[in-house]
Amino acid sequence: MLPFLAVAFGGAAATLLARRWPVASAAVGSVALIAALVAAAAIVPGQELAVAGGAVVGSAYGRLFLLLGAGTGLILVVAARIALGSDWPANLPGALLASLGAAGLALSVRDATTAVAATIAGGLAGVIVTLAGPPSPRDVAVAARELRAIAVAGSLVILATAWVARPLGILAQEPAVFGLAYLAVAVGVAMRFGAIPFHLWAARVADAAPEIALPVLMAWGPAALAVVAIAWVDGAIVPVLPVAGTLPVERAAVVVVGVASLVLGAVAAWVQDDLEHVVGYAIVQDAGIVVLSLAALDPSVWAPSRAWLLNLLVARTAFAAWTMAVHARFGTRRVPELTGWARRSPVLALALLAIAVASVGWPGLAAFEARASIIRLATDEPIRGLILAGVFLPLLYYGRLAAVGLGRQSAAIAGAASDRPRRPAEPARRRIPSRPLGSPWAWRTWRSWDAATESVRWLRPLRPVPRVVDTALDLNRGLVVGLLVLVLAGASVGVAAGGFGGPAAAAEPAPQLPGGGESSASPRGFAGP
Amino acid sequence: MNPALLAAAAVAVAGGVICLSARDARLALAGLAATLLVAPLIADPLPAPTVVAARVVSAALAVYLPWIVVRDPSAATRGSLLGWRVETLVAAAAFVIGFGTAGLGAAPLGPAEAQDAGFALVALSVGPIVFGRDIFRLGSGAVLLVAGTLLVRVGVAGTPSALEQLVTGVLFIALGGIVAFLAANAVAAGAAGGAILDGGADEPADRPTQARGR
Repeated sequence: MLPFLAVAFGGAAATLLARRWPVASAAVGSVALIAALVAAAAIVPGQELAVAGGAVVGSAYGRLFLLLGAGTGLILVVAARIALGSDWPANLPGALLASLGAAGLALSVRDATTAVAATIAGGLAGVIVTLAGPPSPRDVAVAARELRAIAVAGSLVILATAWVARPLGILAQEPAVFGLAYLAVAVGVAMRFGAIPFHLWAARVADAAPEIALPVLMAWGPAALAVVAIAWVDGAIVPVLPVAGTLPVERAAVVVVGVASLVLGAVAAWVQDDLEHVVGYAIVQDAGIVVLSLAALDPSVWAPSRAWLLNLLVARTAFAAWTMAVHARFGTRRVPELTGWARRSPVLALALLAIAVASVGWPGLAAFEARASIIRLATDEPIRGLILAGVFLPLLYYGRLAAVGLGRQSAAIAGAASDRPRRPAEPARRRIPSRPLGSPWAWRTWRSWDAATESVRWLRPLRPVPRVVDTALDLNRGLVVGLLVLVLAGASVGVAAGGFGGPAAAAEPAPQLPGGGESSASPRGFAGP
Repeated sequence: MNPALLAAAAVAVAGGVICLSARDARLALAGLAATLLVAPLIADPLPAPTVVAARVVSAALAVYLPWIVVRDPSAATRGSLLGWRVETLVAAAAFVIGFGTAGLGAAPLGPAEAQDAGFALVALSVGPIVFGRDIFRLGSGAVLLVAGTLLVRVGVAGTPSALEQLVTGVLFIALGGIVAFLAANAVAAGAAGGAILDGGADEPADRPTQARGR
């Protein structure tokens, strides 16, 4: 675990310090993300390391969470760099690495307050990426509101976890104590995700931040807090329910927030014309399921809720990348102006289909079953059936995007590059300069492709590769980005189908830990053994 | 009550009052520094010296980052519309409430003074968090809110572990960095005194200034 934390935080610091030099920053960020991917793969579940009086514990779930984060983040960064060129958000790799490092720390420590503090720090990294371009008063105001939401949500969760993390004496039989603590944690998670009715700041962030940054802002950071909250509810609230009561009022309030986000989030995404808002509300909608998982108050919700979080993260990251690709390719992100996009770019159409499959699914698919389990455990008849039907609501906005895409191509869309691969023109025949050529035995000669291929006779027939690669990439920019998005979409289908060992990692039992308060009859860590 | 802890709690709260009342950004930052430097000492038992040192370094860094942005003598914040006397009364009332509710219903594992100071800082932060229009003030409010919450946590659940203290220190550095980042961007965006949330971003430009409460 420690190498991952070192790579993530060190890489984040190096990338952010180098952000004045975009090329160097992008290179450092990409290398650090690759290193983070390798370090995450090397995490050994159950391995415990004593640090400063506490412990950092590796787990299969934490490893998968970080692997998916680093992997999808790397593809996201490469796709953004290719698609947006010099306009790409240079802070993205640094914010992503800081967010992943904080998530890794939160998922590997065993103390709730420490974990929540780590998730707050990770969330703050998102504020940096909100202000990607030249600042405007509106953008700064949005970022300030984001800071406010992160601080308030984190403080609520810290207060709640601290209140019941000690011997409570006679207070242990008082339902209001656990009800308030539970409600504070649920509200904190809902606020971080921007669940309805706490969605105003998230809607503004979706408007101001670059589309490619939305997964970092609205999914990865809040998801780490959600994992901590699920573990805390499972370890500190569920065991005391026989004594403290079933908390019906508090549960009802949380269910209302979850259902409102699930239904209204999908409707809001459907009616929005701006693709960035569609992605934002799609995340809000999926967050409704996470909030519902907190309402279940049943140990059985442990595995499906953690499995659903993985699905949310990868599917919504792919959706944000798809939005970025569409915006970069067609020059607009307004849905009515995108008529015929799918005909122009079948690769992006295929990617959207895969994203829709991953986020909606069908009975039998791992992600669909996880979501259905959460709804069954959190709600009762007669609304359960309606909510189960509500999981198909995303078809509204996916259907709208598909209908617009299959329409007749507008002039603007027809003018954009298609998916057909294009070969760069043959470079002009090389002419050997009359000036003296560099010696093939000199190091200076081999530092430049042109100098080397000029000075060595048998290398002269070679084409100027770097220029050819640059030209080929420039000509096929849209296709390459589309293929990268397709890889992300494919990964989201893999996670939804139960690939990468997701269900097994999500079901891994939390360890029984020593030293919990009496309120925590079964105190648990945030990582599996 | 432990007089040393009580004095430390009073210094932390006074720092919070100065931070949110002062119009000179540098003075406000000095108040924030006092709060963050003293906060780790309001614990019983006290953390290990190395842990205290780490928290002191983190507090210094957390304050130094905004200092880079507001060290210009002309840097002014909006200050408190209520005035320092009202802020002091609010903090004092919350301090007393914290004392009266020590442990929040059960035997506390930490000193009552920590909860008192925590309540006072949280009460002070409500103004800038809810009504904050100045970036620096809102950011300071967020820092005070988190600091106050963590003090309440010390009061009810006892002295944190060294690992938690380290993570808390990193959190404060990150908060200070974000406040500096936002303040620098507010200045770059042309917001006078950092008053970026003054309604101008969301409200029609032709709305009278008076209607926006200025």
